[in-house]
Amino acid sequence: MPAVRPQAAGSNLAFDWLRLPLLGRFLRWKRARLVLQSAMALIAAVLVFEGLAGPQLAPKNLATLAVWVHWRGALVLALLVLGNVFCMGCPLMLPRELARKIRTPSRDWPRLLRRKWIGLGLFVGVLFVYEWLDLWASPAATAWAILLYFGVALLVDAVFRGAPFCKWVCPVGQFNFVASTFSPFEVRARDRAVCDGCSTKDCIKGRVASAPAKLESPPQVVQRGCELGLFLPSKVGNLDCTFCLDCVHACPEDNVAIALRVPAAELQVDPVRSGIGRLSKRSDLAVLTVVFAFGALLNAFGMVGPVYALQRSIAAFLGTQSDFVILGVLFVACLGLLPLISIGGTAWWVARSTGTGLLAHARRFAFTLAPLGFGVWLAHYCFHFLTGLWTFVPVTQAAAARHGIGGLGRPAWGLGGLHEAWVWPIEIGFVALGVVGSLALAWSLSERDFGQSARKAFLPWAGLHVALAATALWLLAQPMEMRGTFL
Amino acid sequence: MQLRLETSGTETSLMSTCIKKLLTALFALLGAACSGTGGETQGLTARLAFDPQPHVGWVECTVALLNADGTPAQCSEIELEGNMNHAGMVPEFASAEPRGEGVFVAQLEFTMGGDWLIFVRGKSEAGQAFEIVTDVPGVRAQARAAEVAQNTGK
Repeated sequence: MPAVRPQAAGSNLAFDWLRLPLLGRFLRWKRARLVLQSAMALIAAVLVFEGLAGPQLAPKNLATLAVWVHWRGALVLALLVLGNVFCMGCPLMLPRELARKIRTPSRDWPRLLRRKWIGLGLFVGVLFVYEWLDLWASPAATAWAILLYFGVALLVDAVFRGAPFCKWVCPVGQFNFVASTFSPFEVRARDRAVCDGCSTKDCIKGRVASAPAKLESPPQVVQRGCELGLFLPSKVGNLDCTFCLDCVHACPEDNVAIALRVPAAELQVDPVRSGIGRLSKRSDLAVLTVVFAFGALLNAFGMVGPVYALQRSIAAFLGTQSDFVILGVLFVACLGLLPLISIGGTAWWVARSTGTGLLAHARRFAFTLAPLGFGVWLAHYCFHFLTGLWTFVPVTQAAAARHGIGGLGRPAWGLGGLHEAWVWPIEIGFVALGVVGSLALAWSLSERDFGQSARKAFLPWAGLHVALAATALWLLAQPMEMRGTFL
Repeated sequence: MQLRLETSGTETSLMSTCIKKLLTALFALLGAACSGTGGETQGLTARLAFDPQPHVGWVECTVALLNADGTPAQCSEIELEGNMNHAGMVPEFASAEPRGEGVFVAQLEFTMGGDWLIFVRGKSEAGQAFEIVTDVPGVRAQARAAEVAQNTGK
């Protein structure tokens, strides 16, 4: 493998958020993240209150609307045009900061669990529960889901040092990590030579007070380093980066940038990454990427008519009316069997024609699904976001009126969003963007791994990507059909 | 006029698993406990009929309002709201014209396939506002391209 200088993968320091006049100054301010988190925490509190106390009709409740339409849409759009900014402003970290002021956790996250399997399982679990309990249709369930999320984050990070919840547990975080490989910005060192001359390594170790308050007490941390274990000089891309900017505040040389780069370029290279290792050795990340891509199709499938016909067939075949069982079968088929057959078959084809190892090849090329998966998530979530863009206005007006807050006027229930006819080309564009990204990545990896025989590896994978993209377009072309129950 | 479908506001969704029932009941209980709201129909029943059968597009909706003893209810200012229980849905509103004997007719547009809720609002004979919710399950969708063409008039 050629020696790759990790951060040279398509970065451009000409544009750096941290050097922008106002935004840069704000982001370099130590309290910037706290401000963003506080704003998000306030919104979360309002949503929990509304979810529990507001009307239980989903389109008229801020909790369901803001979470399942606006937050999801804004999340994927931000990942597309900026980066992992929602992790930056994640309010789940506020309670743990408060808890850690009372008691500092002393345990390390168990070495055995330092893989993505828990986060991956929870990601599948969230997708399953979303369909099973119709979360999009239940404000109260949405509110309890928010509270549960806060509780689990607090529990994990109150017991264990660092940020194990973000790195190993949080299902939304895992989604963001994979999606952000396609983002145009990354946190990176400005000048590697400065890092080479650095002896303190504050970006990973943090900074402690020069002298402890009491001689017997442990040194006081005045600025923590990266809690996700990403050492800046060998950090590559956005995987596992929450944009917390601790490294920005910790670096004494002001040598950190949020720089423009080529989306998905980080998946073209396979150096030893700080906090991650080699991608080609990480089965958990490869499976996460596969589930991310097939989950996008499954999640879109759940909102169109054909899913009900399929579920009725499964129900008739199994002789059961249990939603849990029928959905379980669907999930095992779509997130287990289908990927196993399609990716296994593709990898087997390439392995047979090139003589490469099947598992190692599958693990390496599984990452080519990330751009396509992200394109499908984008298309799906933006459909809801754009067609329901202004629906928050009447819902907010109604909520304000309910709580005696005047001045917002009568709810303008007719406000919707962009017409479907406008959104459909945008959806096609996102899927096209994703499949082009996946094809480019597959070609790049094929060239690198197989040289003259690149076509032998590329064509089967290109076939898979095109087939998945066609499936996505077919799904998105189906009329949306929302039902409380399919039987 | 063909009246092909009748539904009443007493239908409830089937919950096929015990856990789902338990969780749903828990969520509903907690939500209701906090909001303190409840349905009140003041002894009125709404029977809805559609012509043609509910499908994506415009449908004529006939509402028959009945007192508890089954006699026609003398109500006024009847308005329909069609909605679906998923976030981001834009409700559809329609004013209903009186046809006598507690019967009202409105043109309502179903904008999406699936399970709809129809809210019938108005004033009772005593002048009190009321709201009755009726399920309209399984509104037929059509090909998305056809929907788009129909909605844009192309």
